[in-house]
Amino acid sequence: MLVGAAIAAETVRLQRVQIESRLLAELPDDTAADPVLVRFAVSQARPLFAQHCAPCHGANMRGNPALGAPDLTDSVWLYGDGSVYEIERTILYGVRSGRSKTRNVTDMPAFGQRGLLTDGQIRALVQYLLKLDGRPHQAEAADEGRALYYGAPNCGDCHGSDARGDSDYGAPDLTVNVWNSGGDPQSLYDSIYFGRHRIMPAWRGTLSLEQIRALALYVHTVSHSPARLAAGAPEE
Amino acid sequence: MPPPIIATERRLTSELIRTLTRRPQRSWALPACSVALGLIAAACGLFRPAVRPVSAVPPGYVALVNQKGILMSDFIAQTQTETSTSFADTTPAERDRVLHEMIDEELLVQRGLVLDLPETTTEVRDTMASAVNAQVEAPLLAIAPTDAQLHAFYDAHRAKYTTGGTMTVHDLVLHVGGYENADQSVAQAETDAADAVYQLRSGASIDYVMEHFGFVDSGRVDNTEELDFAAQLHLGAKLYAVASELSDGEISDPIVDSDGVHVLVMDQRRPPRIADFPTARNQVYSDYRDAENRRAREENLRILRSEATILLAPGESE
Amino acid sequence: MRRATLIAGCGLVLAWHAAHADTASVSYSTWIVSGQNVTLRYVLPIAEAQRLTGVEVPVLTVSKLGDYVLRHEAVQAGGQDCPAIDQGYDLGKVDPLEVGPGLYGFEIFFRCPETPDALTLSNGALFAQVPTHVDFARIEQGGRFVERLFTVSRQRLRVPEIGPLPAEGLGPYLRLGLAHTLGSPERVCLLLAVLLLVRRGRDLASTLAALAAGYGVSLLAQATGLILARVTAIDAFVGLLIALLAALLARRATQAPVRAVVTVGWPALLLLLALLAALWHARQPALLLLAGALLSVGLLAASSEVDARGWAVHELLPVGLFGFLDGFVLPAMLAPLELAPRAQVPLVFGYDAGAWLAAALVVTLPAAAFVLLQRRQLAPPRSLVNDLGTACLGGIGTFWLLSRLHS
Repeated sequence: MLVGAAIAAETVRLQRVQIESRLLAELPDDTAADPVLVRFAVSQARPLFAQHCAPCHGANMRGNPALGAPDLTDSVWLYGDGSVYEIERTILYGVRSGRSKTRNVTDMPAFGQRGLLTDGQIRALVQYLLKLDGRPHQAEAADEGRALYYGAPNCGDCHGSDARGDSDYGAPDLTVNVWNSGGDPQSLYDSIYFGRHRIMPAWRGTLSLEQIRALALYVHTVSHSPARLAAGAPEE
Repeated sequence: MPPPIIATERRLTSELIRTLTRRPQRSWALPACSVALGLIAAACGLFRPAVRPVSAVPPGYVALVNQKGILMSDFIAQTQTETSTSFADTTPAERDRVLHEMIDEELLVQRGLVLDLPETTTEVRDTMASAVNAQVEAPLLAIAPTDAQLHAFYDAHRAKYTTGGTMTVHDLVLHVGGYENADQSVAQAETDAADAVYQLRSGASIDYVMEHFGFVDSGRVDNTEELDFAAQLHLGAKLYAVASELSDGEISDPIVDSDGVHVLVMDQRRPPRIADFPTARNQVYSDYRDAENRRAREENLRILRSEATILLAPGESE
Repeated sequence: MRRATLIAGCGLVLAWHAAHADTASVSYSTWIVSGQNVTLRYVLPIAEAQRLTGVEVPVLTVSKLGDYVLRHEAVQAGGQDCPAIDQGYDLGKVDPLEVGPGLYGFEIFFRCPETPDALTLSNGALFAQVPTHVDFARIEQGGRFVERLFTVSRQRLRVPEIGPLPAEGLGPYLRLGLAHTLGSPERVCLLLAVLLLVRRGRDLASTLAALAAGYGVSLLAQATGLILARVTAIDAFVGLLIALLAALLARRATQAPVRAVVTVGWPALLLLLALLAALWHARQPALLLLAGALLSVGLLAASSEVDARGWAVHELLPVGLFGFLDGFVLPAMLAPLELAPRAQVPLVFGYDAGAWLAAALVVTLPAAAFVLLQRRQLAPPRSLVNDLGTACLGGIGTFWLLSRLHS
């Protein structure tokens, strides 16, 4: 009986090693098309996520505005296009982690603290952002904000002339009403006033390559789940 | 027939073993087990497993260079950067070229380590030190200062936030012992200069004073508006110290300098002033961040020093 | 008692001296011949570099050592010197390399003035200070590596004009193996201990056969490339084997109570030392002492005390074990060259063969001399020889075991 149990355990271990090898041997974006790999990655990544990622991104993966940790269940991505490859790069090298390959082209300047914009100007910009999101806003202030957007602070340099952001820079899309640090007017004000310089640690060296690949595939799967895509909302 | 003494010894040994084991038929088994265990323990202590070089590229890597892997993800990123297209759209030739370059780079890095470049090359040392400092400073980026902290920093470093002053000044000099004043002493020149100052303060013009008292323009300043630091350079410390205290239209007392007795006539004076917080806050923000980064670097060095064994040669200090 | 104490004291003095005897002097050079250029990578253990201090190298610094290496390495082509190239960037003609802990490494580029017709590689480092010094060289030519030796009697190697450089024959390695055994006090003592245990010619033959079997198994094991030996631990274990053989000798030659004390006391002492080492968190010494205790109690308990029966099979185990361990010495020495395990086999075979021949000499010559002396009734009493052997070898072996474990 003991021998049988040992053989069974060894078989399971070998199968696992085989799937792990396949998980890494495939190109990152190709793994999402293999249901066996997806199932395996999800089973491996859930406890990893709970241990390493949930403290910032939340146990339900919906993010944490206080920390600026994004919601991972939606289809809006600060960096990249939400592909397994791009998610994996972010996990490998982090955001402003101090590593040379980290995502760190720019960050949101502290326009208010630096005295580059006055209090009134920032409030006007907030109204413009609310307008971009299709939310209730003050029309006159929003017009002033629009002029500022294309004026001296030149928000379009990073956020684009169409305000749709730039995933190469990590500049968010301002038109989809998805805000990592909170979308209420006060939070928007604080973002412009204090700037945002969120960091995500680099996990290469802390987690194995298999674990990182599994996490990337897991996050990709959750964010692209059919239920969410059909209903237009994240899967619970 | 063995000698009695030997037979006795045999019996004693057997009894000893029997006493220890209580099972006479195990008298050979136990020593054999002991030897076998001893050999296993010796093998563990005397040998270690050899590190077998990896003969196949592990999954997740695109190449191994002297057992050091090049990550598939890095290869994809590099290819996309160099070709400005997505990886799937790159040609095999483009991928081959990028991989070739990455392997060359890895070989050069490994060669640099073998040559101990961090020891011998200043640029490598500087880059390594900067990279370590970048890692130390990275976590601070997420900690945005509050306005109160910025204000406190500004208050503690006010003197840094001064705007530059300017002045428009005439520097008149009465040379002592020159051709026309061959017998004139310094004291006499000072007396003459005092008279000239009185006249100027009474409304006389500079030209009048120059004509009647023998003053000339020193040539140190060009009588236009100058920034304070430039005026200091031109006038010299002694004259600048006096000029910086004059206000618009004021005339200085005579000042004895190396080339004669000077009188300064201030046309316009805009003294330096400390910028208020709203004006200076951009600079204050940058300086605050720099100060925090510097503190983090110093703390890191303090920790490194506390863990290091540093010996100085006799007579050396730091 | 007084005689035993006096003999043990002499043994300890001998042990102290022998424990600090010079270790083998080796260096490593890799010569890469590529057209007009020859690249030399020279690796020198720190212990070897320290031999030069004060003589050839006034103060041991990397640059002065590099200069010494440059003075003693050369390449000639067609009778003309090939100059070393200044590599710029303040490196000069000798490039220090980072080759690992305990080693100095240097790289020198030689450029020959014209396409070389015949190259001569010269290596004269350290031979003046240490005549027994050996440089293990690898010469690469056209992608093919050949292993050769530089010794005091061969400081120049000619790379032929046509065809590859032939590999080193067995002869030099045989000589190295001979010197390895004959120049090592531990190994000579162990073989003398074996000799004291031998009673008949048949025992001698089985001893030599066990030794050869040990070397053979060792050769097979190291050819797999699966395990590497810890050389300092092997030296310590050889000390243990010497003491174990002394205990076997004592057990044979003494009466019942003393035999029991030897059978139980020596392993108990080792066990106690193992416990002390474990308390001091010295894991490896504790493991070796425990291994020694288990081996000793097993072999001593099973040992035959009957002179007429001669060797029992299990009493050949220490001899075979010694051969097995000794066979790993050359692979450990060759480690910085990073040769493939199979490439080392011919080298190790020659070395082990030389070591075995030397062992055979050490064992058979004194035995033959003793027999001759016995026939002329000039031989000392067997009991004196046994007492002398037991006390000296027991003391020496124990001292070497503990001193090498401690280091």
